[in-house]
Amino acid sequence: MNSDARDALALALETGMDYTGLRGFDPDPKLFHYVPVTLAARERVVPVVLVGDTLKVASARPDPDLSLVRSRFPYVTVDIVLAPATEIDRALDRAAGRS
Amino acid sequence: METRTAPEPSRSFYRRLAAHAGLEFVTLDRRRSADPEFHEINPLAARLLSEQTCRYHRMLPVSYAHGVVTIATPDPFDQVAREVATALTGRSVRFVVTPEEDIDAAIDETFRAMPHEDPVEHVTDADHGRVGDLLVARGLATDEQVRAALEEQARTGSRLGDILVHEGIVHEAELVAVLAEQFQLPLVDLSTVEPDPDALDLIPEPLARHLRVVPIAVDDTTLYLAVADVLDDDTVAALREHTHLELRGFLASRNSIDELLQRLHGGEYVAVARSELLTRFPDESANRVLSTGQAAGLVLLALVFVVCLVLAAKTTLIVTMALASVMYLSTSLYKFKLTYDALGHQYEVAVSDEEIAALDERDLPTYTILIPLYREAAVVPRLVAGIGGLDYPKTKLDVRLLCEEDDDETVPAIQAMDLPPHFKIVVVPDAQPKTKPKACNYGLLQADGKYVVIYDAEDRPDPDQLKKIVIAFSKVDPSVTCIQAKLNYFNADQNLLTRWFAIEYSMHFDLLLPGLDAQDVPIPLGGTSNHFITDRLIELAAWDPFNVTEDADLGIRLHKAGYKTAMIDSTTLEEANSELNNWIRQRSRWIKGYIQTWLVHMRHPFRLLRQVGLKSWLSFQMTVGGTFIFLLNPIFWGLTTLFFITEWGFIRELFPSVVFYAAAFQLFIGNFVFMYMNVAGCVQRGYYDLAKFALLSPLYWGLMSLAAWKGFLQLFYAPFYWEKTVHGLDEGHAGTPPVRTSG
Repeated sequence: MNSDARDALALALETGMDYTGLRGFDPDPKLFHYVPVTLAARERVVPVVLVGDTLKVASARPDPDLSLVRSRFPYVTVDIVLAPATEIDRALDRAAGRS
Repeated sequence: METRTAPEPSRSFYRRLAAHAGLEFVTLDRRRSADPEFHEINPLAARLLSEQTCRYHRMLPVSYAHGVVTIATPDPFDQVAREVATALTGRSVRFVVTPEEDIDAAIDETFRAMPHEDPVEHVTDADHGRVGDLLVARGLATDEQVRAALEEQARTGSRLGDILVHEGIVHEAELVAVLAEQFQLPLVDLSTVEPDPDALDLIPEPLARHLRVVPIAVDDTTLYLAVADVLDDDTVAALREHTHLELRGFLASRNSIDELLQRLHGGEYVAVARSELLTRFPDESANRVLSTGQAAGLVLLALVFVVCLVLAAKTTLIVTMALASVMYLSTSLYKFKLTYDALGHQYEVAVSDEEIAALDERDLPTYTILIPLYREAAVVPRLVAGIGGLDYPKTKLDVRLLCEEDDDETVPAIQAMDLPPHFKIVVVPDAQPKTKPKACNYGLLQADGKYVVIYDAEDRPDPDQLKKIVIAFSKVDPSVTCIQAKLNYFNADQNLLTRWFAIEYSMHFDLLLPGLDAQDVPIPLGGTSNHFITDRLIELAAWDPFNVTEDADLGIRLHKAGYKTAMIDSTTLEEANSELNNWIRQRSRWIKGYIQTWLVHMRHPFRLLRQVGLKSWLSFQMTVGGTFIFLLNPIFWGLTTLFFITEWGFIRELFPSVVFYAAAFQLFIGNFVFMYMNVAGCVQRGYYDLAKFALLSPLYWGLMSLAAWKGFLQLFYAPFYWEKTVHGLDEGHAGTPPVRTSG
């Protein structure tokens, strides 16, 4: 486990939030309709999965500003999980390269 | 922990996306046409955006209704796409969500199906520009003008092109040419078109008029239509009920379509304007003065009267005097009660300045103003100034100047004025009866407004009157169909006659009508400034062209139909008749019309009673039927004068104690009460300076009786003759209303 992942895991333990690794993860491009790419890059988040009315978003920080998502999609619950910052960046790169 | 998810099937994903955003989800895939989510694409709406724009932004206009373009897209929050769509269509847009595969297939299918010769030749920069950019590029408008118009658009919600036309920057024909280019619609000059009768036969005239389309040609597969706008979904659906041919639109200006429709169907329009009420509600039309039953009843009554006179002359006359006294007394007391109740009360719909200031002009509907004119060229400049002073977006005004065909004075005068485009000249073909209501019915046929109001040529409505009415309609009971503004005079202090007239109107509009409103009984409407919900007015067959006080009659018919009239505290200043003969002509028409109205609705008195109830029935008798008092006045005045001069015993015998007391009460108290009401009207309006002239009211009533007899007798030989009031007699007078003093 690299230091970046350790930091994220430690933050998760400290804040009581869930943790996820994103190695090799390809985000579903459709999920960027919920979290626009520009917003994702700015806030260093990546939409991971939509389950029912809950959108799981991986973030490098525990408090990304996703108010835009909440205002546009009032019927969605945004669930933040912590992930290593470098893996978020790679996932976003892969998404950008594909789009 | 690693996370991997299989992508969700597209359709269910976008359905959920729409649900999460609170947006509509649509399916465009024809194979799923049975799905409730399936949305048929209106190919004419799809033309609102070019193929390139649709592909680039992955969106497609799928329908167009009520001025809003519905655009399907998988990405409903693409702000750039939204801005592009708004700018290029020039309309409000609504995004609905559709799967990616649906939008791609729909774009392919839509643009493959569209007829065009060579896309490469057609696609120029101009095709994709905004209307404003195109107009600037053509040198028809400057950047500054477009920018100012865009600000106006943001404030009023009107279309950019309309604003530029109304500002006089762009001619309507130039705008239509640019729009045709933008939407890739062919253009047609209707001044040279003779529509194919076979095409005309396919669409019924009332529908064509309603939809503002003219079928101009037809072949085996296609019906070609002149249209003023891209055909919206409702229009297509309505046309589909009459033809399944392909529809192909040719763009033309709205005015040229109206003119062509009038040229083609002027005769039918006149027939509708003249006969709609008579055809649909024959019992409500004043086309005959008396019904058979009424004629028989009157003959019988006259016979009984004569027989009674022969058998017992004195008793008969005593009973007649007693009945007349009862009528006087009841009418006086009722009017006194109404006006007394209205004093110090606000029965009108209250609209505050704050509400007007808070009004979002984008929500204002189109408002039709009908202005009948006949040989009134001289007052047209004043009319334009009066309408120009209204605080209402000009792009949302539909002012129709209704001129008679044989009026060779007014039409050229108007044409020479180069009026703004919201003024439209409507020439009413020559046909009897030549009355104001027939002209108004004709004008109403092409009215665009959600609301419609009649003003006279010389009227000066309060600048905020239309806005007040829009707010008032949003506040009142849904059954309110008409809101009557108050009338008064700007030249009240011109002479004694105009002062009396202003006093009478102050009492009538500031006290009596609000009093009737509060009682929820029929209100005989005033001649102008009555604002209607257009659809309901049409439903009621509008004005009776055979009734010379069509306004009062319509007020009664509204009530009979279960609709209500409300009053509003907004005034329209008119020109008070300042010349005696002219005044008597006008007043004789009014009284003739009131008698017409009474006779029409009393054809079936018991049916009327069932329809409106006892309270309204009695009120109708005293407000409209009370007109007969003006005919009786001279008889009573004559008898009184004769008695004082001669002390003739026979006259004394006609008034035994009870009858005498009733008549004396009316003479001394009743006249005082009427004068009091007039003074109260002046006080209510704040015209304190006029109050003293109310003391001379009995002289005014004498004039009214003179006019009443003129009108009554005319009912026998010229019932529908319209005694035209000459306007513009206040020339040289300052034309300012009396000072209103708040008190």
